[in-house]
Amino acid sequence: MRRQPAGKTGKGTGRRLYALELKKIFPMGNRIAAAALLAALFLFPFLLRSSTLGVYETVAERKAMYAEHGGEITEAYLREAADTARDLPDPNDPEAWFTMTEEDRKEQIWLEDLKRKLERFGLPSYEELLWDPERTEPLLPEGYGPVLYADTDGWELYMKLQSGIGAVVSLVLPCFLLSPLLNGEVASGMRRVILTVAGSERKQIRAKWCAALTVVAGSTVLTALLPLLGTALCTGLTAPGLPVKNLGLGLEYEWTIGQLFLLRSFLLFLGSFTAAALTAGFSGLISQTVGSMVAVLALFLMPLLPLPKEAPQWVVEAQKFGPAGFFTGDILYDGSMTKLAVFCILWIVISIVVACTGRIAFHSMKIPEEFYRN
Amino acid sequence: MELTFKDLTKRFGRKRAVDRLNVTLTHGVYGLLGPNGSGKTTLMRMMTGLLKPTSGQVLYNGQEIGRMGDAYRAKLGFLPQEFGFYRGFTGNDMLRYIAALKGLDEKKTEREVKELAERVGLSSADMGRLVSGYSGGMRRRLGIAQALMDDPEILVLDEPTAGLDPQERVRFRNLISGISASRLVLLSTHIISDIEFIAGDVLILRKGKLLLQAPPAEIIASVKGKVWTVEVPPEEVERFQKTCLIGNLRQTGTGVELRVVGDEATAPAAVPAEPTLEDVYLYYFREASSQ
Repeated sequence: MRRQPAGKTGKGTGRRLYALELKKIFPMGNRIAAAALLAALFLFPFLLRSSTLGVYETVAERKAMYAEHGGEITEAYLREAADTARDLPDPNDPEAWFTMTEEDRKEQIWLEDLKRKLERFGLPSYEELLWDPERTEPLLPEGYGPVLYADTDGWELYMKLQSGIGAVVSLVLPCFLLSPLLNGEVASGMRRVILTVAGSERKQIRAKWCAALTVVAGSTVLTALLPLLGTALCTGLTAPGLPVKNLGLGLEYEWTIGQLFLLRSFLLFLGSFTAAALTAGFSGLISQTVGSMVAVLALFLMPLLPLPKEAPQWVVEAQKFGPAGFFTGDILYDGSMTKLAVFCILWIVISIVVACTGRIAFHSMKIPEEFYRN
Repeated sequence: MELTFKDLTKRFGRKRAVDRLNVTLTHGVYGLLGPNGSGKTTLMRMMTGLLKPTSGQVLYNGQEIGRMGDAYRAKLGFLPQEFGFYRGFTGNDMLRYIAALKGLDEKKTEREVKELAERVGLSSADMGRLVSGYSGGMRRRLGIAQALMDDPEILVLDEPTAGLDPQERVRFRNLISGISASRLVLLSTHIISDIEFIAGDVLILRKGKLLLQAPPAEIIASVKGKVWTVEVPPEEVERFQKTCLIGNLRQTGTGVELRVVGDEATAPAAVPAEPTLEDVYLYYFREASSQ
């Protein structure tokens, strides 16, 4: 059978449609809301700095501390820490804190930080040597790989932000911006016009998909880079080449911190893509603009619901496989790259299927306009 | 060019919104008249391909429009009854968007946007403003402009003059008259004077069936001798309203002059009057008017 022509396609129409679709997504109100969210992301490192650094010290002091005490954590390193602690006044005595010398105060800050890091690395504290000075057996477990005491403050702060507020923004921003992608055409009274223009569904949907992808890419890049920039400015981001073990996240991979940052940013992108594609799909299947956003947020937030303690193992595993896994990092920290790959492919396929179904439904004459108005 | 409705029927459940309609339209302006629920909008939706007929066909030069697909839609310009706008779009953006959907290149787009804005009386300052700040009449004019984009051969206008002030309506009528020579324009409206002035043919629908199709003058002639004027004292008005179809009431110094539409004179003093298309509408839709 002979194919009918798909309407005219003049030069540059795709580019102009894409630009106008982006304009539709970003009316003034949305631009302000997105800018406010992103500005908050940039400023959060400054607000949360104390959660990583402690309240008494400055960034410069801590950098000096790492310069002085930095190095591989070994038995000798821990014994030196215990010896130093023995010579200092009792840190639990508030009087002593205010009367100790500047030098002692710096040593005390180092010991506190070391204690916190050992705990994060899952290693015993040097304090065990204080309680048992005669101890001869090693503190570090046998075969434990080299871990450095080094300046990872900025990365620790950044990872907290990325899995917290950054993940929320990566999820909410595409949902909020793309929820009226298809059903918004009915609210604007344009669906009927579009359906009567030759070839317009194809041209329009291409422009819409491209604009949606831009939103996803833009929001991922900005949610990854803005807190990174904020953290770099307020705390510094040294040593991205350190093994990932130095963050004490329990990751067994032989990655560097920089590689972990890239992988997590990529997962945020995939999560954001999944959220966007599901939102776009639902916006062709649900009549209400808000409905598509709520449906996707519910889907993403459901796996975050706390499970009862007696929940069977398969339920726990299934919950990890919810799309929220892109943002929580549960699948990444689970330690299986195969599982991670299956998880990513599964959700990308599901979201693309939903997006295509929504698009087909929306442009189908079989679904009357009234459906979207009820 | 010829557009034919062949035994065209659309059923919604048990209700026949359009019932075995057989009409052929060629160049010129066609006015579609009928009360709410008479099938006007359903007919327009089938004509634009937005609705599939339950049975029967819409044929363009003998070809079924569903089979023609984009080839038919490329000839269409459509203004729906509820034409809206995108938040954050200016008048220029709206027209450029439609131009891009219709596949016009940049040069032609800019030329068409400028020309159409002028045609519908929107200044360049208006076109640069957000559509959300437009009055109802300005939005309607913008809607007409988008329907005219790329010079469509078939123009379907659902209530195009709703919300336009008298000056804008005159401008619209002149615009449609000016472009109708080489194309088919089908417009439905409740403002009968619009049709009376510009339509070459009027189609009157009742309960999904075609009641009449003729030029306005012929249709008007069909009710000649069925329109009367009679002057009555004010206290008589209520009695007349209950028993006759009153087209108009006008206070005179000595009483009230009633314009009565009906087969027979309702009072010995009634004087035959020249009918208008509005009288035709009232005459044929007596039941709807009295409801």
